[in-house]
Amino acid sequence: MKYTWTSEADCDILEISGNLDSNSAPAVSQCLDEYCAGTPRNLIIDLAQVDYISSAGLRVVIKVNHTQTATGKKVMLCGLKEYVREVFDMAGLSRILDIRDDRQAALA
Amino acid sequence: MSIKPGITFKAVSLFLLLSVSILTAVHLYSYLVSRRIIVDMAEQNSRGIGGTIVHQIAARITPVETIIRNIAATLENPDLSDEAIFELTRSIVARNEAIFASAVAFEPYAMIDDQLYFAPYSYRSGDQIVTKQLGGADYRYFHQDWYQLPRLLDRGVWTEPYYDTGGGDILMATYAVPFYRTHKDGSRQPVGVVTADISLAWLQQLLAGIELYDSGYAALLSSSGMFLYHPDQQLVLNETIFSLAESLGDRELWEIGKDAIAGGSGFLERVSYQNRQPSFFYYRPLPVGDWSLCFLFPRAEVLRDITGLTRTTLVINLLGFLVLALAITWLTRRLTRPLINLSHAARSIAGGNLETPMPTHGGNDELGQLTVSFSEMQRSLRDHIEQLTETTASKERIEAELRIARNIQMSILPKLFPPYPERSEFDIFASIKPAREIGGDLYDFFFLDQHHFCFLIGDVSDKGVPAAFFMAVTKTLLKVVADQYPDPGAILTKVNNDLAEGNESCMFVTLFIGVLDLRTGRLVTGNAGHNPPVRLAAGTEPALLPSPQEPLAGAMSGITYTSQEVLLAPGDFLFLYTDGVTEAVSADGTFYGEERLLREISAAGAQRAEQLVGAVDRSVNDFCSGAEQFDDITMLCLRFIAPTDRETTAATADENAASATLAATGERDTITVELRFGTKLTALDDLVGGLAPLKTDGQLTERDHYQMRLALDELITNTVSYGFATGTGSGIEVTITLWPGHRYRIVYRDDAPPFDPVTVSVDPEQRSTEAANFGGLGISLVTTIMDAIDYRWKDGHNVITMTKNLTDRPDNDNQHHREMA
Repeated sequence: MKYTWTSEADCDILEISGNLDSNSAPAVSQCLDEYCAGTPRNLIIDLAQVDYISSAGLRVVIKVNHTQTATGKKVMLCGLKEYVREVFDMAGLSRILDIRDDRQAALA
Repeated sequence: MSIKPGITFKAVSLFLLLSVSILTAVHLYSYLVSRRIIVDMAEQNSRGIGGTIVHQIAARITPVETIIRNIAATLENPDLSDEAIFELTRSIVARNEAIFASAVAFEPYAMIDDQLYFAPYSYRSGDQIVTKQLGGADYRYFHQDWYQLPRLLDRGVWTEPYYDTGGGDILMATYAVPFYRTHKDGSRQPVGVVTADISLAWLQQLLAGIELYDSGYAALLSSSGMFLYHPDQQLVLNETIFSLAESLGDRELWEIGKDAIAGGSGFLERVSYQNRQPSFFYYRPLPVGDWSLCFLFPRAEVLRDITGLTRTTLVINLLGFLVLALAITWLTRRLTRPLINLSHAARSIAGGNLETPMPTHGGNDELGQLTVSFSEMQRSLRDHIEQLTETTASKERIEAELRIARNIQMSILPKLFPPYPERSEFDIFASIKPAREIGGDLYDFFFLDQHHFCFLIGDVSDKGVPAAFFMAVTKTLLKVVADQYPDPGAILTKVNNDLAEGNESCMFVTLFIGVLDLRTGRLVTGNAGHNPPVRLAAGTEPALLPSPQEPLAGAMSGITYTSQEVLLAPGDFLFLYTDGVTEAVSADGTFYGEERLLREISAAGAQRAEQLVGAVDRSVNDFCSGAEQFDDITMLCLRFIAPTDRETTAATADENAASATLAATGERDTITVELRFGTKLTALDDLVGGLAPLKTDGQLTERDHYQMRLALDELITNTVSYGFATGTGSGIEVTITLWPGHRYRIVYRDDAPPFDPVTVSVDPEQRSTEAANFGGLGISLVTTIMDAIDYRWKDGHNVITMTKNLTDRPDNDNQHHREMA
């Protein structure tokens, strides 16, 4: 699992690749905690390269969404693969989180 | 409130009201009549007094008039000398005491040719009689009233009275008569007037002396309406009746004056102008000088006697009424006292004291009869209540016995759940909610052998103790017969024959029997007229189990019942119920119905048999809230979790060879994967490797593979993070059995401290806000993915058994869409 940061005009993008399970989630979580502790802007999390996500990964997303929303910043998810998307559906999170098809849709 | 004041008050009021009305009418009438009589008498009285006065006046006046008229006749003699005429006037005064003065006045030049005036005049002056000649430049008598009027009217005339200033303010009046002489040409010519002056002082005294009641008085009017006499001296010779009427604005008085001087008379009621008192007024003409006499007297004085009489009568009446009221009060109280006593007694009886002594009332009147009737009623009530007490006691005894019978009936149904905690293949729960009246619902379940589980439900088509007996007999019979016959159809055929034999009371029972082979999920059923059960297969809508139309049991022997087969998949529910469920009635009279039942089962989202029964039970309760329950409500739910696993099968193979053979044939097509994991999270990486072959072999689609990995990931994470984190436990064993193209079963065992993930339930809506509380999220994903999940604590291990129908299997195309919804 690895992740990379990029910045656009009015937002930051975190691109994650690999599996997002109990093993890898803490690293991403810590990275996002640090980001939120700094000067966060609107955030796009690109999951196009994530093949697998478990509830540990969902928790990371829920947590950053919670923190950002509290300060009036947005969190968008994009590029979810079919089965990853189904996990969000099963957990009932699709209605709560802002999920876009791909990065272009998120930046629009 | 006592009835005593009521009757007394009413009686007194009524009597007094009537008496007062009658007496008032009588008094009013008699008063009016008496009054009229008295007023008539007053009028008569007035007329009488008036007549008397006229007579008295006439007696004084008539002689004067006669004398003067005779003198006038004498003067018609032309041979009378001057001296004789002088002497004549003198003798008139001298001879008539009533006459104060007298004159004989001639026409100009009538007596003496060269003398204009000739009018000898004699009058009293003290005791002397003085005679003188009237007339002269300062007293041209031809123009005086006393000279003109008689000549013009050609008769004797009384002049308007006047005060004699010379004789000491005496009211005087003059009577003048014309006299005539025959002319040379033979015609009668008026030649003069002879007069007599009389004092009216006596007239005033006469009128002042009249007594009319207390304050009545008389008045005298001249021919011009001048007051000649009135008690008020201001009016006399100063005012006429017309000037008075004018100053008072009294039109009526004016009219009276007009009528009076015209010679009219009248009696009327009017208000006195002096003191405004209602008064009677009487007037009539006098035979002297066209004068009028008036009387006025207060009405109150006239009616004084009758008013006094009325007052006295009223006082007597009031006293009479008082006596009457007292008498009536006394009488009604005397009459109602026994009634009041009786009323007190009746109230005491109504209050529950049936021993209240009845008041003794001598006599055979209505009250006596009423008292007797009351006594009889009291006696009847006492007898009736004694009877009722006995009846109630015996009825209570019967009810108590019925209650015991009911308890016994209920106690023969299995009530202990879970009944087979050691069996992991299925899960069963049943409930019965008895109606108030004894019903005949029954259910039962038992193992026929190691692998065949029999369960049944039934409803005796009647109520009461006979139904309870029939139900007990049916249940016992079923238990015995089921052990001896191979399938439900045969069981029903035998039971029907046994029940029908000697069924004197013609009772029937509907029955549904199922026998489930726990190794395969094969279910064989038989149905004798019972409601078809509901099958809830994982991922589908609940549906009624197809069922043949076969008659209910016990009615007729010789019926052959058939058996039907259906294959239950792991996770399938079978819900059995009696018509107490579907025919439950709500407060507004509608039935619960099959559709509602199917909806509730679908919506329940139950994981266990007990949850499904509980959900339906709550729904029926809510639906019927407030309405009486008429029938037993009985439900039985069986959930097939998974076929018997191989270890158990193997362990029991020796005991039942036939079953082992069946299991062996069943497992020919399965793929089994066994995995072991340590106590660290690295287990998740091992999991990826362990599941990889299932995907590469093409046995699982990508989605099923992903979901299997996710479910195991979550369980392992859970066990490692919470179970092993406490320090105990050595690892996890997972056995996956896959029926390619159909389903898989996972048995997950760990030796961490006991933890039941099935009871963990988290509402998805809560997750975004409760960021810190993610505990249930993983487990929630597991239960969502799996069709059935079961947890047990067994031999120091957590054992979770899960089954899942493959999402892309041919018979379940809609699975994917349902989860996406």
